[in-house]
Amino acid sequence: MSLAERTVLVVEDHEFQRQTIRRILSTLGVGAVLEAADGAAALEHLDALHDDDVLLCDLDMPGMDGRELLRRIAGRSGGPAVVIASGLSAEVLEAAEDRARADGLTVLGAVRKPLTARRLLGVLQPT
Amino acid sequence: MSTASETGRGSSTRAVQRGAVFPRTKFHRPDRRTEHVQRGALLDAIDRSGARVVVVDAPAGFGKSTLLSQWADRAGDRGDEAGPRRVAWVSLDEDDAGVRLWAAVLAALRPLVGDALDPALEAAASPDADLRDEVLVPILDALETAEPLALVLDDLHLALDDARARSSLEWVLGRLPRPHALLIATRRDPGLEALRRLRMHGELLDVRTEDLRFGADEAGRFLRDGLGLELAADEVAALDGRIEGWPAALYLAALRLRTGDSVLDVMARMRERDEELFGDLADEVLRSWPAAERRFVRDTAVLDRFTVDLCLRLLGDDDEIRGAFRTLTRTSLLMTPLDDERTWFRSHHLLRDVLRTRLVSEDPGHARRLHVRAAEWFETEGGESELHEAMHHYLAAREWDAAAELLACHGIRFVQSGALGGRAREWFHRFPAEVVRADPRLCFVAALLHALDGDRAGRDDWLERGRRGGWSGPMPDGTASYDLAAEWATALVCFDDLGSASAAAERALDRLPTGAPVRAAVEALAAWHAHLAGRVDEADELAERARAARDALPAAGLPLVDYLPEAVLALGAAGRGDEERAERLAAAAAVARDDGPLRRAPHALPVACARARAATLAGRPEEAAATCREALELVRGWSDSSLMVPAVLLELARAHAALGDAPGTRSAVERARRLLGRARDAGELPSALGAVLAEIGDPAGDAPPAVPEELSVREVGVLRALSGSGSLRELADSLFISRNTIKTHTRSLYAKLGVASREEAVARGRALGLIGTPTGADRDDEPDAPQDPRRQRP
Repeated sequence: MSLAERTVLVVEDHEFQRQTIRRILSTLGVGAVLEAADGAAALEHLDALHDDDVLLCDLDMPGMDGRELLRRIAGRSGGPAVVIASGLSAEVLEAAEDRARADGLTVLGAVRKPLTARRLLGVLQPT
Repeated sequence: MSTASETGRGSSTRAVQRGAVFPRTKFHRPDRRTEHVQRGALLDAIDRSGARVVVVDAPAGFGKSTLLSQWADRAGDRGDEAGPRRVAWVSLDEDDAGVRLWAAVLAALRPLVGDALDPALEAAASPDADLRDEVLVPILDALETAEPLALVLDDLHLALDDARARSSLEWVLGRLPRPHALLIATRRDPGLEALRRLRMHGELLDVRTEDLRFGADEAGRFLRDGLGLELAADEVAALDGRIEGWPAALYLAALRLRTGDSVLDVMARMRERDEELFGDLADEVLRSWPAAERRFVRDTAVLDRFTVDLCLRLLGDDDEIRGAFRTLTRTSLLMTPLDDERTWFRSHHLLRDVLRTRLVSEDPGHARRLHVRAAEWFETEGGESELHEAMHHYLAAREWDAAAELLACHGIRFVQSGALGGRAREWFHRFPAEVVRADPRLCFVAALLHALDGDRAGRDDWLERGRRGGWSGPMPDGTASYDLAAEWATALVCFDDLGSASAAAERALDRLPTGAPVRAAVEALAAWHAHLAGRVDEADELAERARAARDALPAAGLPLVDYLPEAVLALGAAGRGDEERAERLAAAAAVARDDGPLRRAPHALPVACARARAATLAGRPEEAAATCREALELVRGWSDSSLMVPAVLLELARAHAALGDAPGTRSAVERARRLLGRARDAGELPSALGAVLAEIGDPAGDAPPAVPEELSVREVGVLRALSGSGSLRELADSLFISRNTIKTHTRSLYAKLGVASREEAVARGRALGLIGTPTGADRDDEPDAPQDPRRQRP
């Protein structure tokens, strides 16, 4: 599936960071980019996403954080694939990824921040 | 998770950043601490002196900032006759050089003085600003009418090595309007002539180290009231004598005493020299602390400021570190809060410097890891104002790869956005030359900076050098490949060759995704280039596409996309005689330009063209001429990279012609023609200039140069390709067209030029100035011996 056909929902609390990620994704050629500042806002966008779409989710956020968001999504049928992002340690990322897989989510990958174009492309369109 | 900046959160997504970006903590006056001894006698002396300028000059740790902060605290209660009640505070740092120093001063004064400072604030954000006329004079003008205020410049010594900062300080200090006061804290004598003159006239008060030393009485009060230490009077006197009234050292000694050591023990372990004495005391104190606090203070020494979150990222998230943060920021005078919310803190400068130096020399690997972690935190948790700290830490860690990624990711926005453009240059120069040469991302940034400077050869050299670097995968901003990035960089500025820029734009737009923010910029500039080339319909279409792309962007794109599409559409409308539409679009372009950071930048000249053209059409040629003259004022010393100056001169000529001013018309045309000189492809400009002359009845001798206008841009591109080596098939591939198409173009080209062979076509093209001469086209620079990037001012 080409990037242009995909929608990516970016869940990240900091606006400047969200804008930067959005800019990179749009320039990479992702078809549409949606934004949410926390888990609760992300849940409102979920119905707009298809199975081929992607939820790119920061783990640490005020309000509903990434872990809680992933737990909520795991309870739903279908839904987007998941990319987990965090600036925390590799172990934290790995644990979140394992947990999401165990909960039945389709995890495209876990990416350590800073989110570079190369890292994002690597998980969204692995060669 | 707490975030690093308030600026990035919750603000309007299309809000325009005016002025330079500073963290708020830069303008925060140190808080009052109960442990601090009130320096009543000194404060009274300052008030009584009636001096307009106070210079507090002493080494670190003598309480300079504390004194000025106490003075500021009392300001509100002061009677009018005793000096200003309102205080602006700026903590300077090593980066406050040149115009940035004044951008910081302006940001601090703005809440007190109001919007009278806005023009100066905007000018200070532009890399092309005239420091004296556009920044300093407006500051002094605004202060003339402002209510009395005091400006505190803390740590002025950090800005004194910069020649522009020094000379501008000299200039302002010699003219400081009367009711206002300036208070300076510095670790060394500023050595400014203006200060000497103020001193001679009795208008300056010096507060020196001797004045700041604690006497035995103050030392006793500090130990007893501030720290709860009851010592005998002779012990206090002995200790104070040994540390010679140095408050910071006294504090460290007191911390040691609190653990139960005797005064004699502490004194016995002190060495003679100040730095050693402080280092020894710091060691003593650290030894007495729990391991977590020790590690906390030692490792955070790499940071200029920190939050709890940043510390946890640096040191690991555990209860001990959280506890150390809590204890030290609540109870220790060594940690100073930098905001009212107590989110940001800094270590005592003296302690930080001692520990930082030691850390770097004793365990450079650890220091490097700490810098990298700090950089990643600032990059991923901060806003725009924290990017500078991220870059600083990456560079301190010599983490070139991450630093290059960060710079190139934001490069195009920085390059185009006023104050940040200056930052991009500054960062770029901190990379070692060999790192720049070997990294295609940095070569690309260098190419952008050269393009901005109007240096075509520099841009092309750097793009080529980057290409040889063999970058694979996406560029940091997400552009699919280096080659595509090079295409859009080539499309953004045309220099003297509209054909090349248009062809690059065509290729870039074929491949750039619809949502890529740079697309709107490429379309807008391609529209401008198409306008100059006289391809009116294409210019309109591109401008409309740029407008649509811009409006679909979730956040502000490059500043130029806010005004350029409207300017081009206005010029198109004027060309068709649609007066109403031309006026409306030109006015919209001007509003958009004035709302952005390029308000007084020459890069926005097309807006002046549009306004002038619309005014001439509407029968107001005088206004049009004035608009052009005002615009031309902005271009002094500026290198035009997109034929903007001759385009303004064309409108000036049109305005003069409409006024019946033949000499004025001729003068503008001649000036434009001189600029166009031997331009490779200046589109319609030469013939348009000739047409204006014809309008005032000038002889045909002034006709435009013999450029066969019937050649299409594509045909000129093909002709240029033919002048190189390579088979038709290779040329077709390089132009991204099929072999049949290039054959069609070639046939048509031969017919129009009246030639029968490739050699003849090239010779004729050179004779007509359509393509460069071999020496100009094939640079004989040694490709593997690039010039030092530092010598080429990017």
